[in-house]
Amino acid sequence: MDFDYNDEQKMLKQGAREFFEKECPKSLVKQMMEDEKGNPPELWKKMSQLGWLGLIYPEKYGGGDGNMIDLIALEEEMGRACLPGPFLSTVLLSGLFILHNGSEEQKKEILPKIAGGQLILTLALTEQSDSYEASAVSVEAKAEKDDYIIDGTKLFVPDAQIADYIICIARTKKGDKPEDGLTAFLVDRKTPGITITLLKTLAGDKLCEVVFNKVKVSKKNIIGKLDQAWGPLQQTLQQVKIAQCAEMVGGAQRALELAADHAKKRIQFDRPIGSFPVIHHLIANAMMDVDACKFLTYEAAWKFSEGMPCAKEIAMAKAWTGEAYQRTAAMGHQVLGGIGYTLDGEMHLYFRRAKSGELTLGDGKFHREALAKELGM
Amino acid sequence: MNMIVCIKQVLDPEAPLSSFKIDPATNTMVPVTSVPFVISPFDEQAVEAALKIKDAKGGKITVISLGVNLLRDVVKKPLSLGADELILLEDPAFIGGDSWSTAYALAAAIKKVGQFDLIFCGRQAADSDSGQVGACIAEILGIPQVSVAKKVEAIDGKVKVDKVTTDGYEVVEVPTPALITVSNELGEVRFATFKGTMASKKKEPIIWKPADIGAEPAKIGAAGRRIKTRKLFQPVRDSKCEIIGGETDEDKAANLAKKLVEVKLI
Repeated sequence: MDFDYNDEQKMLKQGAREFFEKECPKSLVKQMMEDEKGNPPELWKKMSQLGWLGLIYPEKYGGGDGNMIDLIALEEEMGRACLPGPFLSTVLLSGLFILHNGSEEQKKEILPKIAGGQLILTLALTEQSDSYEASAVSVEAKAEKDDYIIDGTKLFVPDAQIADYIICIARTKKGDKPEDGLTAFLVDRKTPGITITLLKTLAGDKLCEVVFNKVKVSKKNIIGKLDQAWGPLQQTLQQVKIAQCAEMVGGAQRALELAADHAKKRIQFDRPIGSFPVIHHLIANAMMDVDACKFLTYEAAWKFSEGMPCAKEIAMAKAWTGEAYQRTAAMGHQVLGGIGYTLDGEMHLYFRRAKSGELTLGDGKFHREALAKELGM
Repeated sequence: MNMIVCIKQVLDPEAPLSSFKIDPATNTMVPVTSVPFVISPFDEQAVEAALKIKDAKGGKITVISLGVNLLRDVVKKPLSLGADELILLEDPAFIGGDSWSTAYALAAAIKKVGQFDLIFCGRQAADSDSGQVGACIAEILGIPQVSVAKKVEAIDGKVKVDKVTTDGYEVVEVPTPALITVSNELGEVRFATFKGTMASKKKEPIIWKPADIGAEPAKIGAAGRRIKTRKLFQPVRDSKCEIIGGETDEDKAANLAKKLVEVKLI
């Protein structure tokens, strides 16, 4: 059993670390938290030139033919760097949904532009309840000749304020089950009737309210099959959750390192605070948490990349990682003491992102329920 | 143009000083496990200098490294950036050498590679900092050397080099074949693209043992050392802080100036 990265993945990871240390310092991260767009264009362009935006797409769509393990190696470093920008919304949520469900024409038109850094997309799924259940989707799309008219409000839509296109999941038919009758529409953000409002968030991540007021969308812009978006969407979300876990693993690892480094250097009572048992236990507990996050995530990624069933592993990874990352960052604040709470420091970035990461794509409670269902309960 | 770049795997020089310990009994560094290995940063600049020439004029880049248990994810990095071939002189017999015995082995390997126009080395290794290997290779091979380059251009069978000096730089020309040692003033090194990184998987390193390069056992590794280390130690840096007082800011500034004159700092 070997859950280590191969040589090339280690090189990718190390190269990404060096790149982000240079191109994405924490000063930029903090600046982007306050910035309305939240996406430094030069950084996005350079990531595109390195082939990272298309890493997971096939070469024929301008991608790098990478696999899930390559992706999580890169994601770990993005989490370590607290990378701002629309990687999750554009490359993963939208790009992967189009890759798995779009027509050949849609894939050829959109994916190379995502990989080339020319298009920003997002997925509008959640609404007022912030639930990832199908029953929570109430935004409707009604057929009208060759078009559909979308009406309703989506909430917590990532990066909508800079998106060129929004993939809107809307109810096109009332079925027997909430999962039936949902359709994905590719909507130009500039279409009349769309209003976007940036929400205030804990981590400075860009979540938006998107109001669709009788927005007209051509039937040609349906991605996948009419009334049958839910199943394919869940498959995409499962893949994205693994990547999201890897991002949290990278952040948690860095929070742990910051705390351990501080404990070795900070002198109190004539010795480093790292020599006190209470600090030993805090750091040791955090290390066990972070390693558990890693191995749950790596196992889920490996099973996914091998085409094996992995719903249980993904549920465990997402539930555990979201909460363990928070415990690790909270421990970091404890070990760093007062300096851990200053905005000049870094620890608060990890704590904020841990909270945001826990809620994104479903929290621990949601995934415990998912796990119980997988166990036949 | 055929280019050869010599690289060395070293402990990350950015690691805190407290990570390193000296064993005074043996005058050697105590092995550490907590510090990652990297390519010596000056050697990365040497790779970049070769890549720039390849970008402009084409050619082939062969990278050579010497050591034991060389980490593939470290030493293969030049391949991910665009180098064509990696040769590893990997054998316990190469270990424990000094600048001369290392240069002897590298020069023997370069002879075996055959035709070359340019050899690049970092100006010095980030661990030993001796800066002699490049010059020794040039001496053994009997070719000219230009040290501490900040820019290298290949022009009609010659090489134009901007060489760093204490107060600027001088421009020199040298016929090929030649050896150039490269300094950090060359500028930023590139990052590997995803495709470049994955393509390096197909380029397996070539391993050469001492017999493969015709090296005499008495001239390589510890057996070939010409340097005797008398003492290896970490210098103790003691700092004292004195607060310069005064009733007003002007007084404080004047007192500070007096103090600096007193200790002959100004």
